[in-house]
Amino acid sequence: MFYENKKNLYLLIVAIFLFALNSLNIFYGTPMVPDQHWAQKIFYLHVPSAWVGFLSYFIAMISGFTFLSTKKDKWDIIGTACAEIGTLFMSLVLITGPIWATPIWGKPWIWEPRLTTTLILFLTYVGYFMMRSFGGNIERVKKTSAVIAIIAFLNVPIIFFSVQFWSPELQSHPQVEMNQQPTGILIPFLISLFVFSFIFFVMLSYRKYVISINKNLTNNV
Amino acid sequence: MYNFFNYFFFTYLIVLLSIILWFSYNLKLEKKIRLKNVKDLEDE
Repeated sequence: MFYENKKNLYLLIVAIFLFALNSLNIFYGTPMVPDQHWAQKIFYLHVPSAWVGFLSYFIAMISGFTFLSTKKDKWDIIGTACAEIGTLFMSLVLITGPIWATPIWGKPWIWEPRLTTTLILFLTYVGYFMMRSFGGNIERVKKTSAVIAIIAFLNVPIIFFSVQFWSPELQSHPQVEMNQQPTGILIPFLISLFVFSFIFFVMLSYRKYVISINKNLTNNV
Repeated sequence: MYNFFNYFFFTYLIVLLSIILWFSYNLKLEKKIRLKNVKDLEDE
């Protein structure tokens, strides 16, 4: 079992401990913003989820390139694990965003550039998993997945800069630069980013392991 | 009037439960794969 290995178990315990500390910090250590009150604190969960989603998709893209050039299964496993974890976190982004928007904008969804491009990225990865499930020939599926992971990542800079690309009247997203945030918000935000990234690496190492033993079993049968 | 705390707490629960469910799903899957592996070896 993966968590019988002490190193893996300690990493999991550290991740749980960090998540608990981060939660306490978000609940009790962060300042209340007058206009949004508790709703602003969703930001400490929503933005780090988006960061982890983009980081996963970035690693999936790198794995795609490496798989296409080396043809080693290891990179296909890493790419798949990252695609899965990335999609989990992108789903969280698409759920937590509308929860924040409901009291702040008065409606959960607006077809503005950043939301729309994020939804497109999510749907691209839905296509990725459909292709992995129903793609047929396994070698072709691996190559096509790598190509989709590379192409899908092209959307990430578009999402990031969408608030600048499109005209301001189309934007509903907050456009405050992170370095303009007061220290009381910036430091807890950076802590939350670190904790989510740490959890991501713990999840990635475990998911890689589960996919690889599953593959070994399939190969043996 | 919106109760901002409920929106935040609901978001927090969703994030927390998603991560917990992800781990429990993978733990179950790992166990299932191991059992299948043992069973296959015994059948051989």
